[in-house]
Amino acid sequence: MLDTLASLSGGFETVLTFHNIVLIFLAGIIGTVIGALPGLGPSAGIALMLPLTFGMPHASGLCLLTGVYMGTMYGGRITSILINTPGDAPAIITALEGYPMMRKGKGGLALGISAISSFVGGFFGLAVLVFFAPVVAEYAIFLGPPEYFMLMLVGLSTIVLLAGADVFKALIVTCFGFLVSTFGSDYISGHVRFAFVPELIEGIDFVAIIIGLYGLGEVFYNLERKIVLNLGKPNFSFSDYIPGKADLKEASAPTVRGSILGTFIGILPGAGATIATFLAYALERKLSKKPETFGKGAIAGLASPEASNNAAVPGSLIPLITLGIPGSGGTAIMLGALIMFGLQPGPLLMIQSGDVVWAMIAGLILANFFLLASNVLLIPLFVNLLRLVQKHLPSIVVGLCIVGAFSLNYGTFNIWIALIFGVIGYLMRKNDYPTGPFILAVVLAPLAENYFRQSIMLAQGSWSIFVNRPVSLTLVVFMVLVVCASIISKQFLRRRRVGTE
Amino acid sequence: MKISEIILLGGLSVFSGSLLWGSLDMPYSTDTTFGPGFIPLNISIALLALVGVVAFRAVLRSKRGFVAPQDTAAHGGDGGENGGVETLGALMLGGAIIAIAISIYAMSYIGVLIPLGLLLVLLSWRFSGHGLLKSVVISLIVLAAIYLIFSVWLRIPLH
Repeated sequence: MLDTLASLSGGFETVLTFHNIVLIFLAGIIGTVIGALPGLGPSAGIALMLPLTFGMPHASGLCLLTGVYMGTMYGGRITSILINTPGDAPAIITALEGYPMMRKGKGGLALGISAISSFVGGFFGLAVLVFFAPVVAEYAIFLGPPEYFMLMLVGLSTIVLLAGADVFKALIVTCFGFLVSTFGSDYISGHVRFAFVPELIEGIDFVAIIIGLYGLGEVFYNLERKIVLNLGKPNFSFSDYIPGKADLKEASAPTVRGSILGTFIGILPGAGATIATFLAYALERKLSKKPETFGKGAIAGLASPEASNNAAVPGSLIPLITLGIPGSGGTAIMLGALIMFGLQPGPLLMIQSGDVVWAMIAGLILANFFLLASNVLLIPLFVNLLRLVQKHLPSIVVGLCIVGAFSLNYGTFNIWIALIFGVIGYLMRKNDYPTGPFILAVVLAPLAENYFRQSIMLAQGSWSIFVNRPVSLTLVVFMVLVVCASIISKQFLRRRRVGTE
Repeated sequence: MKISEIILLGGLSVFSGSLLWGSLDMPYSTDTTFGPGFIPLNISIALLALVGVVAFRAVLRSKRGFVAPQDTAAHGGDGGENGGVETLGALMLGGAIIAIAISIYAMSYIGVLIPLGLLLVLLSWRFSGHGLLKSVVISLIVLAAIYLIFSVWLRIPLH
């Protein structure tokens, strides 16, 4: 413990120079802006900043990249809450609760709560990274395809919670999500599925789907119904943006739960922040005394996923630093950056280049504080900017969505995908088909399919592998309990409602 | 069942039907595990079955004279004046989607910025109901912001 603290203070000594402090602050702001732009997430942010690190000292370069990474997680929530267009995948759940809050005139409050939850989540993840990284990573590596498959199934079982009133509609959109995820190369056999055009060989870009489904879908819905936002005139009173005691109290327990969940899901390679947010949301809905408020601006449903996605950032750095395994797209680019700096990711990294790694961790801690301050201070700017342009929002959102989709591969293909999913999103919303299960299926189905087939391959065609391994069996039992508890509680609530009527 | 739901379910049926057809050419299983055709085949059959169930349920409800909550006045589905407003809204939406499609098509040939600028003016002027001058000014400001962020700063080739 004392050794760890000594190493961390050494890291702070390296980082606390004027040049590095300015760099980390700018990295956070740049990350926030990039994260807020539809189509650009952590991977794009780190990749775009990578050329700037050439010639920088290793510690400064890594601080810049991790600051941008952390900043994108803060930024993703801004457009989710204000215009229902998630900047990146982990911000989808934020839109489910944040946007309804914004429509009720509580956009500033939603931004405030989410900034604080993000800070707490990030801080918790960093604490685990500092004190428990090697221990946790040692255990995470023992999880194999059966455990990962069961973990994905636990994630998919939360569809029951996101289903809404009509289970059939939820199942339809889930199956649709599964099918959308099957496009492109099959990683097990190498077979290319449904590549009607060459662009589909790599599958349908998930970010283009969410840009269309949420961004364009919302514009189409409002355009047809002639809905125009009415958020009032610009107002710079800080009291409207800082959460009160009651709001903070309501958000505190979900934030803690989201932080713990996000850190541990983030550690698992391949799971990542998006899955952490879905699980955190499902958990809060399950635990809530007022589950009917979810989807209508529930503070718990906003705070927990926000904490979890920021906690997942330091979490995902644990396997990268200790084992050299990148758990997400963002950390894969970070791995490239480590190699570019001449460092050797893996178990020896902390021994051979401990000073650089501890400086990077110290930089992340500093970035988390800067990001809280800058994001809270910037809330009036964001909200008033929205108030200023609210009557022109449809064309602004369409413009951002089109350019965001274009920036995915510098071609028009993804704009067509976004348009198609915009129409689908509009039709789903108009007919009360829930989007949550669809997105969950698109995210989890390809991972679940790969892990499932790998597991069966490992077991030479036998299904017993899922119950013969203790962790896998525990997850099977947990999943069955989640589904049963959901069905029973729904039945119980229905009977109680009938009884009351 | 509303027309928009029929379009959605019809589209999903055609989509899953075509994937079902395509998955028949893929290996369903191999010696040691399931093949690439396993998920698409089973899930497309499940989706077609579910669409069938929802359609059948809607037919049963209409025979019994049951009106689903989403088909009621709150959603503008009660005919009369609301029906007229909804038809007008649907026509406007159709127009906006066609305008976006045309501008995406144009982007493949002349870059993103010019078609996007024209689209923004059109959306603001014809669909959001602002004056032409105001629409042009606002669209130019938005376009300039997009250009500065994406093209100048992030170096994404928009033109």
